[in-house]
Amino acid sequence: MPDVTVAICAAPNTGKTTLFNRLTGSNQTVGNWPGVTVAKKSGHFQLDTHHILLDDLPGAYSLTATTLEERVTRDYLLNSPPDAIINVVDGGNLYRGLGLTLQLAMSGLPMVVVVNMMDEVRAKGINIDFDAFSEHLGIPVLPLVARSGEGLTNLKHTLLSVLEHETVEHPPHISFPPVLEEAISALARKVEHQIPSGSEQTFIAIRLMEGGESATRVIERYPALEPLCSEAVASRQHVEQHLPLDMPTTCAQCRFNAVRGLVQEAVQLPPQLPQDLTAKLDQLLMHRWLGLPLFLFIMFILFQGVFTIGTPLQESLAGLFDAAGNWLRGTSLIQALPQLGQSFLLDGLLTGVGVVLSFLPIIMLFFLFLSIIEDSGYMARAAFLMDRLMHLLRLDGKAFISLLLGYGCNVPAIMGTRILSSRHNRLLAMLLVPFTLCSARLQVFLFLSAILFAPAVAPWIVFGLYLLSFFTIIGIGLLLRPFRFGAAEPFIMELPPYRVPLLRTVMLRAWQEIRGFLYRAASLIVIGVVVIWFLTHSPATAQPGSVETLAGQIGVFLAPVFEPLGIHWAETVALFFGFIAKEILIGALAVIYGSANLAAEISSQMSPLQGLSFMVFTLIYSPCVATVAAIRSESSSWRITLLSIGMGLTLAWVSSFLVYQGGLLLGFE
Amino acid sequence: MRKRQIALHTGQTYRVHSLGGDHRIADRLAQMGILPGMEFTIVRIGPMGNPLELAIDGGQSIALRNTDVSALNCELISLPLNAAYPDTQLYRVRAIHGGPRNRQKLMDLGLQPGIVVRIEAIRPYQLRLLEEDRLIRLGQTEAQYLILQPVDTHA
Repeated sequence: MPDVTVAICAAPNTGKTTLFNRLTGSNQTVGNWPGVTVAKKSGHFQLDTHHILLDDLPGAYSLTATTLEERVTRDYLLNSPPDAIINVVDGGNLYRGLGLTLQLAMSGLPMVVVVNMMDEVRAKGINIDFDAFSEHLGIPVLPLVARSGEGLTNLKHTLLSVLEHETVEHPPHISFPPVLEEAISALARKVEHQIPSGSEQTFIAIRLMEGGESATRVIERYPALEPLCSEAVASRQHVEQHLPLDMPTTCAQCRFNAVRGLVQEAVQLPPQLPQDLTAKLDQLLMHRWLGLPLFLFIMFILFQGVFTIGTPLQESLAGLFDAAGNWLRGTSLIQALPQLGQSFLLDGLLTGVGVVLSFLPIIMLFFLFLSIIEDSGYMARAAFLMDRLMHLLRLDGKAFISLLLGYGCNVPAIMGTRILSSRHNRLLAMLLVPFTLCSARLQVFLFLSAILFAPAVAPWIVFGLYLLSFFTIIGIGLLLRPFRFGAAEPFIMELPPYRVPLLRTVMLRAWQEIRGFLYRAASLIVIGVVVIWFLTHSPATAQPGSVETLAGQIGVFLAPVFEPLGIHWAETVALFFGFIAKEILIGALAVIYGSANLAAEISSQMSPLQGLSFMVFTLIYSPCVATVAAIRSESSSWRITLLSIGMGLTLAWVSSFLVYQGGLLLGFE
Repeated sequence: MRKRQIALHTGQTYRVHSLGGDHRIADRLAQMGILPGMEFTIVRIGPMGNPLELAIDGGQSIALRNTDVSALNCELISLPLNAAYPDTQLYRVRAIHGGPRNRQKLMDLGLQPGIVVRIEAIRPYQLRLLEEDRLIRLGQTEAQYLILQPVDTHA
């Protein structure tokens, strides 16, 4: 049986659940808080001689409860106070979290404050003086990286000394306006008279003065305080006559002032450009008329930067990989394997790894440029400039950057949706990015349109496909307008002063993104490629991609579905290959047609109208397996991933159908 | 509290009385440090009228959408002349922005801080200095540097 109860209490999105998982491992139970549908997570762990029950309280910004989660947290602390509190704050957003910290500190319960996400804090060049912080707060404050577990041992050690009362805590005193101060301490003295134990009289007095449910909960626990209720209400009314604002707001204001002081004492921000330089830069970069063209120019440079440097890197990496594959093919070890094994290793597994690797240069460059834009403070300005337009699609200005980068490559664009401020925005942007015409699709379109259309017409076909992509995004955006994906947040954004990005920070970010991509998306990509390999290469006796293979049979089976689009079974099989990576489509067609002169073969197999229908389908249907893997890892939801695939396939079919049948009606072939 | 229907305009300063009904927005505003009693100035308005950049106490800048700002319960404290309309409202000169030459020019016209004026016409601007009962004319550029404060005549 646990002998000690500890509660984790924090604002939402501070990584408290990660810390909870770190501490308890698999020893968890999930239930519901009494009377409400908020999940209650509990777990236990051993600390020295103590067997500790750990309660994960729902996310709350304040104990002056407005949300359901905040009420649950307040009631828990009032009705069944734990032996100690672990309060988690997000190091990147101390203002947001410390208001709650001060409220918790006033409860008089033993407490440890952990500043989480210290890796990001350090990466931003922010320096936190933990000794000064602890001293000013009167409570131990510790650094933590819950994701990696850094600082965990220190936390356990400190928690132990707090539990055994070796560490004496002096909760800070928040100064209220004198009228309020006197009223609170007068009430606190009366509370002390009724319940002498503990140092929480001030905390209880404030709850009583808040009245309503807060007071009811206090009375439930300390029935002796019942007579003080009416006095508390009268006292509050008296106080509010002398205050310009109501009591909860006054308290919030005082807390905020205290927090501001604390942060100023303990946090050192990286050097920023002088205030007037920021104002001058803003006059230019946020100019009513020049701002948007300048933004588009900066985006153009970013785009060019990523792809003029990235594409040759990508190609040389692919070349190296091909060479390695060919060398492997020649080695006696591979030669000794049966045909099917060779093909699995080289065309399946190795191709999959190759696809993963080919994304690395682009992802690295993209995040290098992105973090320069973000760290310099320009990202917020870009969001400011684009907000009005993107708001039409219920997105905010930052989403424009993701969409624009999709035109280069969908994978980093989807990873980049992480910069968006709410889950709704992230998911919506993720669903829209796959409809951008990425450079891999462009290769296919350039190749096919050159074969199927006259030189004067071909550029217009490609241009038309770009337009189709724009309008698809706007159309889908408007179509999804009524839907809410996760909680939306109001658009309130800080416009920070401009800073010079630190090289170390920028490099670290790029490295973290690459590691994240390898860790989360790579395995799914390899699996996807292997599955496609299996479909197109089995049974072993069949020619790869031929009608006898599984893919060929699926192609024939699906023929009635694709016939109205003017797409034959062979091209359907090519679309399977296109799922590995869109640029493989052309090579796949060569394999399937089995012809030496691909251009001639394509123009004999496809009419221009059929080719157009095929290209429209290629533009809109599910992006490559890497994009799907990115969507899956960023949204951590299979439903969103499947929705993305389903939406793409349906819309691709409808669009191609309209193009092909419309074309036939107009007399094209 | 007196409520005046003046469109949001660059250069206006407001004092927040309460954070409005939507608690999600109120919460976020409080977290960003915008609390009742604070003042903010509209620094710039985004392309196509949205969003707004506000400078709040302590030099912090935040961006908010038009609708969210309008939902705040706040009082107009001061505004530049080019954001005002001619009516019976009296204004007191609160400050003169812009360079020293511009300031000197307006001062020479008799527009010292503290002077009470009535706006008789806009574009071009005609101000009546009440004490001297004198009419002066101002151009567009000068109008944006002259910061006025509504005078509460009932008080």
